[in-house]
Amino acid sequence: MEFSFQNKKIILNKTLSELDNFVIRFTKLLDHFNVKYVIVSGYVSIIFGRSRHTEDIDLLIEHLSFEQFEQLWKNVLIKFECINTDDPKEAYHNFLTENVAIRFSEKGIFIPNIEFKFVKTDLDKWTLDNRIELALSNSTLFISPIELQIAFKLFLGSEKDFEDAKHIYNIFKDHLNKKLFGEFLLKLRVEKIAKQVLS
Amino acid sequence: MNLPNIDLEELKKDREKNHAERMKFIDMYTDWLKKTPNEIWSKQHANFIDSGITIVNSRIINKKSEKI
Repeated sequence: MEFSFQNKKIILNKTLSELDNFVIRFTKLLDHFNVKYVIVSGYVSIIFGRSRHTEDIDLLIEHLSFEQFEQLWKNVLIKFECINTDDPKEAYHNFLTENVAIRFSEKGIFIPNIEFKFVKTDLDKWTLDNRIELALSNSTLFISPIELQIAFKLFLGSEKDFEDAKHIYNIFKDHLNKKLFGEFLLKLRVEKIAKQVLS
Repeated sequence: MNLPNIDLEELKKDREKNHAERMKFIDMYTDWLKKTPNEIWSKQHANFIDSGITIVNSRIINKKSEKI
């Protein structure tokens, strides 16, 4: 695997999967409307070769006004559909502002889908502010900082999460900001499990 | 119905062994990824990822057809 990782930017040229293309089609709409997002899910490990499937891609989105959201909604619904509701007011007021995610899939195709939610916690905001630019072949995605991604997967704690954490750690261990990584392990109280899983 | 005897200690050992084997597999797989050119690993990987999406959606479409 050849990639470069410098100054919060990763460059990776590879054969894209349909999953990659699906994510790119959706995030291009966000870019078009200048909506800031960060991908935080297991998909981050899949981009870098993790051999597992996923049904959803988790996106944290900057907080939008209803007017901003409605404009985005109208354009997203040209090619995508919202699984939860077809009413933008309900999507915004009953889901997003209540910190509940909505899901978008391409029309008539249930899986994969985008899990779309607003940032809520300080950790969410930090993730968005410190997102990593990923130049993926001819497209650009924004992903969670790798150090946090690994530590958070260890915190989540399922077998699948441990495997995701180990996969990303193995790929990026020579590129990690060790101090930042150590601080997240400490903050999330996963130093002990990190030694067990990542060694 | 007669249920089988379950040796929980044995099952726990098997679970731990399975976990260790999975972790070892990830080490082997990431070693291979790191030394394999992008065009080779990513083509295999894309085939694997795309096969999962196709299978799931064809099942959903088939279920919808059965209902109709």
